[in-house]
Amino acid sequence: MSERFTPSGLPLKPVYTASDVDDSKIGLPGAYPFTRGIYPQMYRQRPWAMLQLTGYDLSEDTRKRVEFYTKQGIEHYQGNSSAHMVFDMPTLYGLDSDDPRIYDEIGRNGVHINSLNDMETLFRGWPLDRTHTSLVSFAATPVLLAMYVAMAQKQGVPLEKLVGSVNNCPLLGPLAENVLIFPLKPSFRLSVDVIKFCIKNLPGVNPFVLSIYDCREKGANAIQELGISMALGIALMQECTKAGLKADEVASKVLFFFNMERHFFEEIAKLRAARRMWAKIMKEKFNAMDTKSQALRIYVHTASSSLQAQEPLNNITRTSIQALAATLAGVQAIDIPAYDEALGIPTEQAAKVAVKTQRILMHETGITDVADPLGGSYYVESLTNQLEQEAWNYLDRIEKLGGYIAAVESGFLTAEVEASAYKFQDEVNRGERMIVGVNCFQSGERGPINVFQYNDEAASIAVARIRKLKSERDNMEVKRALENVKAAALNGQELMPVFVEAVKRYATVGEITNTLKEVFGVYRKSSL
Amino acid sequence: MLRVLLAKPGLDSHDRGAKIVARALREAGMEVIFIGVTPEPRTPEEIVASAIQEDVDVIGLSMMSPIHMKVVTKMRQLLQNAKAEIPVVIGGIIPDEDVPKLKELGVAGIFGPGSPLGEIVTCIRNQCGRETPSV
Repeated sequence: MSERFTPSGLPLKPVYTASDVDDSKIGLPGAYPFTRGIYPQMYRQRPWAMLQLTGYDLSEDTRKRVEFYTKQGIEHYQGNSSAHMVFDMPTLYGLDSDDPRIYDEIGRNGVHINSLNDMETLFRGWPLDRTHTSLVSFAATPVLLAMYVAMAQKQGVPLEKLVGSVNNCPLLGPLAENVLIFPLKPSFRLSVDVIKFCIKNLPGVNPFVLSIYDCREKGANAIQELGISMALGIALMQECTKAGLKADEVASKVLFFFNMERHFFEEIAKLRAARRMWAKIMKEKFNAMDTKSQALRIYVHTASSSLQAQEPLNNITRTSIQALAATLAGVQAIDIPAYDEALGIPTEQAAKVAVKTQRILMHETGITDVADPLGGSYYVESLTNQLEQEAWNYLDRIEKLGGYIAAVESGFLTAEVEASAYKFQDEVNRGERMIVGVNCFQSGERGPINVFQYNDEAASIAVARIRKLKSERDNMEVKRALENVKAAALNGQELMPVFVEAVKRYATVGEITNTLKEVFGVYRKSSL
Repeated sequence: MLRVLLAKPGLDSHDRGAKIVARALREAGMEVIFIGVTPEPRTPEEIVASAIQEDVDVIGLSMMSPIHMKVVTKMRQLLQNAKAEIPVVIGGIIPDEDVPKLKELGVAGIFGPGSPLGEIVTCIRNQCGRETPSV
């Protein structure tokens, strides 16, 4: 019999028995250390929230897709609608439409936002107190959240009624396929500023979604995903407590955003282990005793990198199995990418299938009836223990290197993640890891499949809009507001209030970002 | 030794594929100059200037956002103006209908998702007359 391993390299026995598990340590759902889930009755008590990420072209285009999702059955908690949006690269990097270098990337792979005008177009007519808004905004979070706040204030919606989350996590930049504009230290400062502002003013908004998902997409394995996420969580908590926040008020607001990759049981074990690790870290390291601090809320996106361009309908099967694993692991929110996302932005038809997959899981399978249905499984409990132990060891290595920031700055973690990515690809190449339709069982066909078509005029409209805005607004007011941004950045003051004032004067994402670059400098990713 | 410039034009930060290719080329005995993602867009001008300055044999571009037609058109023009005959290969998400257009623009290799690394390495190696040891 050949030996078998999980993708992260854990050895697997052919069968597990009672001797592999200590029953007395399994515990209950809703109780410390929350291995079995954060609520006593899990989905009977609170079904998972549905998040379907979208963003393309301009505000008026993206809002149509959000409305389409709502119509098809996407829903957040308490019947709130779910607006889960990602921004294009120019917006995420803080570059405006009138920068000729980015013209061709306007509205590609995300919605393009320059000013409060664009944010208001995006949300026009939606009741902000009934819309769960989650912004996948990385380094642009402070400015985009400021726009959301300014918009609510203009509409007279009390800030305490806003619900949602902001990604606010550019901090994985070098380890993830995402965006860091400023060096790590000022980036942490901005993230902490957002957290502070939300704790004080936006009690319904989760101010930090620890997006380890992106690190897994970049190639990390499950052990690294766990170890690195905990190291970043610790670094964040340390920065927040240094800034005068209490551990409990921060920890109770943090969400973890994990990947749901291919190996069914390793992924389930990973999330169970994550909850146990976080509970322990909160209790023992940060003395955070509030149940909400210890109970880790998890949001997952099934693995985009597992989607294949070849025979794309097979991706429906892949994502369904991954989403099933997520529900068996007791997550709080799920996003299922559409079957055509290896080819581009989802078409409506593909998007609809993803929505219905969520609904089929929730209503047809009986999964929501019983909390932690895999609890007590010899295999699952044993794998959870094994994975947790390996992740503690990995976390320990990072802490010995000086913690998350030092381990990123030295290049250690980037090299680790890239080595895992290469190992995976090498296994695919050698046929040791099978991908149906790609390196085995190919049928040699792709289609028939329609690919999403962008709005060809988005870029020219965006450029015309920003020119008009700049000629019509009070530019003296903008200048003063930007001077206030600069002064606050230089003097170490809280930045969110000055951002809110600046965006109300129609200062743009690019103008505010450029002002901050003058103070903070720009992150330079080390090349290979 | 065969020298390859690998670049990610524009702002697209999805560099998992590009970095895997970089490593595969190095393991095949080539020298790779990697132009990664920064908070400022990488322009065709910058990529062509680096290619000429580094005296590379092949330019590889990796693109996940649909800017490939414009980038390739512009780079071809810049390379012609500089009288630099450097072959260009690209990888990433390339719609089927663009493949013949890119070939017409002289792109020497087009690699979509799931392309075997060996094919990419062979294509790049074949782009120049020099012999390279296969490792």
